[in-house]
Amino acid sequence: MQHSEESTQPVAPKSEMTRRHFLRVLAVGSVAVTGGAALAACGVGGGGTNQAAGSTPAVEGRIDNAVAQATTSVGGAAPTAPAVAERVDVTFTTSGWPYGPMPDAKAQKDPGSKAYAEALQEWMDQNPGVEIKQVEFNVWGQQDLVTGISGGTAPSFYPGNVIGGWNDAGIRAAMVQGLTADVTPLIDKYGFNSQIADYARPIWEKWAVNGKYYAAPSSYNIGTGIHYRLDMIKEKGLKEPEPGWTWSDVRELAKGLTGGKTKGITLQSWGLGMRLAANGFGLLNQIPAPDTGWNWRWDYTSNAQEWARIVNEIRGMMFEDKSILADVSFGDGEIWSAFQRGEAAMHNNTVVYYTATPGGESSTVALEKKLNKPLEEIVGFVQQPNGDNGRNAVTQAQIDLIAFSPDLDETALDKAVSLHAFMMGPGFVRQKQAVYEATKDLKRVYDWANITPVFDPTTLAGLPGSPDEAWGKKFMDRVRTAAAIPLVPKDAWYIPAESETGPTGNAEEDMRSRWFYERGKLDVVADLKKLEQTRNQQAEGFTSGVDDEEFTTGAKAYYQAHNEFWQKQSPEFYEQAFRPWYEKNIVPVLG
Amino acid sequence: MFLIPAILFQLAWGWYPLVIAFLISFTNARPRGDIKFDGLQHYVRMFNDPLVAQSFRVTIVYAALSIVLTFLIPIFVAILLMELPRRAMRWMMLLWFLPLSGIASTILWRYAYNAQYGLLQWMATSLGLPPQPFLNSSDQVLFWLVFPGILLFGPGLIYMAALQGVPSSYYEAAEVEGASFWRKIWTISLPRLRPVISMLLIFAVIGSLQEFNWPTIMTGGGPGGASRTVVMYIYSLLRSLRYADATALAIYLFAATMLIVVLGRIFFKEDPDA
Repeated sequence: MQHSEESTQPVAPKSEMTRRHFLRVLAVGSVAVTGGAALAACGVGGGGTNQAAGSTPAVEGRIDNAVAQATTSVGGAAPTAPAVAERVDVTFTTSGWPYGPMPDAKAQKDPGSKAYAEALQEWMDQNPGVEIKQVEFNVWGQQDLVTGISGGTAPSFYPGNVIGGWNDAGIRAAMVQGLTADVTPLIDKYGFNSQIADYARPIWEKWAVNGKYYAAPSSYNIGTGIHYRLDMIKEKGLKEPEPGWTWSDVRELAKGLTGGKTKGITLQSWGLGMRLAANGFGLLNQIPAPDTGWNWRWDYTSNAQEWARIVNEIRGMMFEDKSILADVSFGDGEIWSAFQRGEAAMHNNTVVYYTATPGGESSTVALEKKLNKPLEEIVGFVQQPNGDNGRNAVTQAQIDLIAFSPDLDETALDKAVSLHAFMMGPGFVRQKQAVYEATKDLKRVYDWANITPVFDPTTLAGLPGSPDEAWGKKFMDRVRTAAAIPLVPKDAWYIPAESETGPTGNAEEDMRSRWFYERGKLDVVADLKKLEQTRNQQAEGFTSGVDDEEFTTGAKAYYQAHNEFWQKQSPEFYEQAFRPWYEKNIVPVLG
Repeated sequence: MFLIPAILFQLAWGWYPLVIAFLISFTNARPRGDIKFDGLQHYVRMFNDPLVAQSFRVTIVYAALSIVLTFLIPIFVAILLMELPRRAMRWMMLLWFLPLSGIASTILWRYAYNAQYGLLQWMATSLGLPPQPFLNSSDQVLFWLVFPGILLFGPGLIYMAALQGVPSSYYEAAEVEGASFWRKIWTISLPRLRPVISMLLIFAVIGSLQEFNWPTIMTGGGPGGASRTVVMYIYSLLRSLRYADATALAIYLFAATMLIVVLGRIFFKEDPDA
């Protein structure tokens, strides 16, 4: 799970996807069950400056209503089987993600594998001639994938986010470069656009790249937030976080929770990125410059005092309050373990950490057994804090993608997308019913991102129970509140995608890690000046592949969307920060 | 004729990829689709990238620390160990031969360096020192990355094997002449080690200039890029699908490494009698 803040495009994939990503990828898959519980991909945390534009319908009531409508008792009526397709000879290769080959008889002794086998057989009966073969391949390694795709040896399916390093600009560039198949007509044919859940639709629509779809949705989650130990908060008589809280509240709570061997919060350096993004860092640093080769320039110095203040606030938490548990070597694994062991009372991560499949020692649910209390009394989740200039909408939903090999011919591609659509719909329901039959544990049914299925739950008749019954109404209320957060406009949706990814995000990450970990006195303003110089100097070496007029038109629409969005969403941020910046930097350039 | 397989292997896995990489660095290097010639664009871009200069600085400092601490020190340690009784020497060599997974030991060291609860922090605070930043300090991170290499003894075993080949009559003759311990080292041990040192120095230079594993696992290049080596930046560029840029930077690294090795060969003669 990538948690780096979303910078504005067309920044290249962040180097956080190195060591950290290796640790982050927790053997996730999609809905396919190959050995028990269904896992769902976790992905990039939102909370950055840019995501999709446009108004989002109020969805607070929709998640629970949708799932409630879909629930029937286990073994509810199956949907009518579609007609059998004409036989074709197609062989898929798979690494096991998201769909493995047909499990053998021995494997099918496991209820989850048996359920998958039955679902897969049902689809294969409707699609005769299709075979699935297992191949050894690491689909979570970006280099492995790109090498395999280049050489024609990649599996038929792979995580779309991986090819671009979990960064929007990188993923889009990879798509434009032809690293995934164009599935535009199949997306409509197999009902992805019609069946997608309302809460997922706004963000899914924005995955059209230059008007085409190069992947299908695989999972949806509401993004990142703060997980906190409710039991520790109550023990110390402190105030539980509520949506709409600020980073000042975080500091106060962290300080109150620090004591003995426990720190208030554990963070990685991207946590500082979240804090900065909460005040508009990222959005307010990247300026369109159509008169330059790359069309963008960076400005970190105009508002340097403000950024320095924020950096020093976090450094105050780290070195004065001593309320942050952090080390340069920490990855997601260490963060999560520290939280589990009670060494930190809060951590910043995607929501799916809360709903990790029960059973493992590292799942949040393990705390129930350890502390002999219901989970809802031990751990809570709340969306990202707001900035202190009123900026909200920091937590941003995301969709993970399944991509298809560009080497698949038309027939094979059709079958691949068909299989995926089936497994997101009736196949998903079959498997979840089987999981419930075997375990009677709704947490295993609605684990990981399955609390918010990609397809509209009202179309998934037969799902046992509901996410509320599994994880508690309070938690699901928080999820619904976060899902209702409108999506912040993203430049990728207005400006054509570049085929080149441009300067890497290393320079900004370097400064974040320096500010976060380095002791002693730092001249943050000087660092910001150096950062600005570095990024602009790097940008000078690139030439955009987008036509100047197209860029200007797209950029205008993008910033106009932001202008309307913040006026409505965060009037205080709009008046204090966005509007002056927009009038000074954007209007003179774009008109 | 018997050399043909080795030559073919070297051509296929050594020279061919090198030549292709060189050619790729002049193109737009797409994984799929048409490739077009870009000229020197990527070399110019990498030359002007401030992070390239930074990564070269980090790499050179890392290499220098690595050579001094993990290459030179074992020479003197090996010489001193030769003074031990044979049995003790064999036990020491056995300990150093114990197989250790490189990645596993890197991860162990990462935990040992943890500034919150690592073993080394505990040792430092037990000795009355203030809490140390270890890997979290841009001034200290490279030292701490190199430090475990000292304990691993590196090429010390090879030095000891070479020293065991020095006839004892040389030392006896020197003693008869009244040479002190350090004089014997300077006039007998070190000259005899020269061919070994020369060869291992080349490998050490090449290896340290291409360092990737330790900083990647332990720090990810942080804090602030203070431990990001050139190869790590090449990897970062590959992850950004900037293949031509990565290849151009790799060619720069190759050229720098060759230059250092050639200069080393010129100034460091192997022949102990020269």
